[in-house]
Amino acid sequence: MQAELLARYLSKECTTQEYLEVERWLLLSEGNVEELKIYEQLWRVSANLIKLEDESDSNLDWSVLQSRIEAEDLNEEMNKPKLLSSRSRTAYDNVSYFSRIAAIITLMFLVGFYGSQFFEQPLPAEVEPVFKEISMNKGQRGSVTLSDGTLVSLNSESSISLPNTFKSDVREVYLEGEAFFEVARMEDKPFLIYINGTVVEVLGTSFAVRAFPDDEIVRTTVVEGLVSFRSASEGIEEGVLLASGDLGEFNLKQKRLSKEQVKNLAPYLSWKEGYLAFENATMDEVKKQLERKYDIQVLFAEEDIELLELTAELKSRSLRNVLETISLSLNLSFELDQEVVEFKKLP
Amino acid sequence: MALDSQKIQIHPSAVQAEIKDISLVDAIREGDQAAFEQLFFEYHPALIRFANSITRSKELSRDTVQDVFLKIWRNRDQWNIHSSLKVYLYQSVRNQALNLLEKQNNRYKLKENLHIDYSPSMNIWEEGFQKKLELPEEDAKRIMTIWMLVEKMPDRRRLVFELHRKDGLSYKEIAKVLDLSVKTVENHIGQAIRYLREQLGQEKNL
Repeated sequence: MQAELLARYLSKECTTQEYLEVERWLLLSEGNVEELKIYEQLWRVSANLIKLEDESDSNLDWSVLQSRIEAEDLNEEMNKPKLLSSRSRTAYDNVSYFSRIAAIITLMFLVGFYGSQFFEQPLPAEVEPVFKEISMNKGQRGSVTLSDGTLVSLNSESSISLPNTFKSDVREVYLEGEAFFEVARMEDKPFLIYINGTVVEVLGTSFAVRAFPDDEIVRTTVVEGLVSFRSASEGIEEGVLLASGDLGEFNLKQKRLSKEQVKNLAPYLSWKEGYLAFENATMDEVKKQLERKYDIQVLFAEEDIELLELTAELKSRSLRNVLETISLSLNLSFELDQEVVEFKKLP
Repeated sequence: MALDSQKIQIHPSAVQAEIKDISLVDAIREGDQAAFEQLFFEYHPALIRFANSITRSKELSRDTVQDVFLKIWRNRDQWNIHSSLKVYLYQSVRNQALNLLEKQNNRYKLKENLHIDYSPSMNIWEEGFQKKLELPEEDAKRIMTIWMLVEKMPDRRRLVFELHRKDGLSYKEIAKVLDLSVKTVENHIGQAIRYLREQLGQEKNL
């Protein structure tokens, strides 16, 4: 049998006539059936391995691309008298000066990181650390690799401060907002995250931490490894140990620490993959997350909409699709005008 | 071949994908940033792989794909697609990769002894790949064997085979992307599969 024909048959690219030809050939002998089996296996094993590719590369490249776009926009604006601006309105026109700066800082940081790989690091002298801050504005999301190899994905409206060089015995960073960490393992150099009065301490593992300024609860969700979670004023024995699948919560008002096992981690991690997931979340919370992710303003025509509870995985990256899904599952309608969306109850 | 148009199977998923692609292109043309992000994340890994397969350099392939996306966003107002979105993206990546390669080659002619970072077109021989895929060892071995053999194929055949098996492009799409006739694509895939079969010998289970 011709290899070309077999390949077309396996790829479902053949005509009816050719299909019948292969079927006839199969009837000729047991050996032919065996032969086809081998080809089928070859086809199966060689199929679609795209999942192998590292997603963190995409995240990194997306940050770089955004910086390039924003740098271009900035240039364009500086070379053009303001009053004559007749360019059609785009999402970027709304981006504040600060988010541009943030993007440039991100870019400088990325360049710094890549650049540093080419030079040998001098032995760090123990001096007062100089801190740098990396921040994401509304609608932005990005990830950075720190000098120790730790990968940090930052959600919108979140920022992380860290020293230019880590101390010799400990790696300390300060977080505001929400981030996902894949900490490079170093037995003798724990990684500490300070966030809103609490501290998360690890050796090497992956987990998400969240405390936005308006959150009453600091949350830590562990994907892999062991994490110590405690109030910043307490010793390590006062904290809780979180393992894979554990959610630790510190209530800032009651100063109470708790931990529970969660079955579905998606609501705590989905932002990292670029989508929102909710499990019995009130619309009040959904509103906050929408505003953060899409840099929009969310309004409710009736006040009690904020009490409705949503369970959904909003995987579409298009805002309109996301709003449609929410409306559909809660029996609402919505109107989207520029960057303001208003939900209404259906009569 | 008179019956050429009578395909055995219609793929509803392919039709759906195309409808989705059209609305994505429309949204981007109107400056929808979220749509652009969606496009990026959907195609970035595959396009990086494809670019890497042409340039054999991690840095060059990243630059290639960045340039393609940057160009799309920059010229989004006039973005027109005559074929499918998938074909358009792969075509753009191929063109840009060849452009960048040519530029680099010109530079290398000046500075001869520069080291070129060779990067295999797949990362399957990197550590941890088996763990990532959660494959039994046997399957992982088979996959590695196949793709190592593919690495030895002539460039064009390798590209054709990869686009078909890894990216799921049809013969027609591959022909458009690589600027070949469908017949040539068929020949390449046929010869690729015959070669693999021969190399893998008589083992019934590969």
